[in-house]
Amino acid sequence: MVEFFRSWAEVAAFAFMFFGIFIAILSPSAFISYIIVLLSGMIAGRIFYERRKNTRIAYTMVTLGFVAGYAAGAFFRHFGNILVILVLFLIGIIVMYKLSERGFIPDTWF
Amino acid sequence: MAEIIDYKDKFKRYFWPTRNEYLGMIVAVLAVAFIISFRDWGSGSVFAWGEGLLNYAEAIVIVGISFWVFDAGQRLWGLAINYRLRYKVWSMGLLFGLIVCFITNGSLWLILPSGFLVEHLTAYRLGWFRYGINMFGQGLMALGGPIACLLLIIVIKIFSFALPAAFVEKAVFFNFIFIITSMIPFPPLAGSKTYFGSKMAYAFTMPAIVSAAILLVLDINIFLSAFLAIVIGVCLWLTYYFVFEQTAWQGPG
Repeated sequence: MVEFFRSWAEVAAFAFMFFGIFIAILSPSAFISYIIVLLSGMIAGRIFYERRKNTRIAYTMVTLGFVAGYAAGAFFRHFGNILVILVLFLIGIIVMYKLSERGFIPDTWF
Repeated sequence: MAEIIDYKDKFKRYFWPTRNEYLGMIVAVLAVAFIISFRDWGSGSVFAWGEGLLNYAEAIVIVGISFWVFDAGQRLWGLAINYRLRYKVWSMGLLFGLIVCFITNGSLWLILPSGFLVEHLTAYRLGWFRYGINMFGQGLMALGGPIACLLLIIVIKIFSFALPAAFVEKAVFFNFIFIITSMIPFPPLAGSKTYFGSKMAYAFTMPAIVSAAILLVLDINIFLSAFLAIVIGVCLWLTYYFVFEQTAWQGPG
């Protein structure tokens, strides 16, 4: 159990990689796949904003795990270009981070 | 009489949301309206802008009214126990709901719009037992939302003769789903506040409210629905108590 708590970020990153593959496989088309990755990027942006004053390495690992899984899933499904997926994910992160920073979405965190 | 005057004063001062709360509410309404109107942008694989926008506008009206009623129910209950509610949109819940909507092609409505924060009306709560903000009070306040939505279903059904059938059907079904999702005990949803406030209260209210919503959707008489919902709630409340709670609190000895 102690081992798990010491390396929960790696476990979560691994789990989210499979989650990403699963989501990418479920996407019905390339266009929807792009929209989903943009929305996922926005979720990640929100998480990074909430963690802006704390350590972010664990969340970065989980995010990278997810996007890697998603890109792999989209690649095998032949739905969308991997580069476009990565760029849209990054745009999602930046847009949501900026929106949160400027207070456009008066949000709650759990 | 003094209580009524007092309540009226609190209503006037503290009931109405602030600009920021309205902003959050608008974001939530637009996103959830998109989720529930996702399948209504044309028929089959043909995309129709006009029809889609009309259906989206109808969904905005339904979601807007439902969210307003939900929020007002919680605010009114909060003012009764001298708490002021602050509406907080939950962007992660909305984004996750949108992702699920895209994946399932709009077949699954995951409505996770918001939570709330509580402000303590200091002067009004002077002399109260457990004067400060407490979880139980928040839990009761959270229940005001789903109960208000149940009342909204009843009102819509009563006035269904004067409203378009498609509107009534969609509004009732949306409120039914919204009540169920809002009672999920996951923060920051209303169900989580009730659950963390009192497990026993949750064990009664969750089945009672959900079964009332199901019975109302099934077109069963309003009074019979209310009676059956209370019976179901009591049965599951007792079951929960005897199966789990009774033994869980016996302590280590």
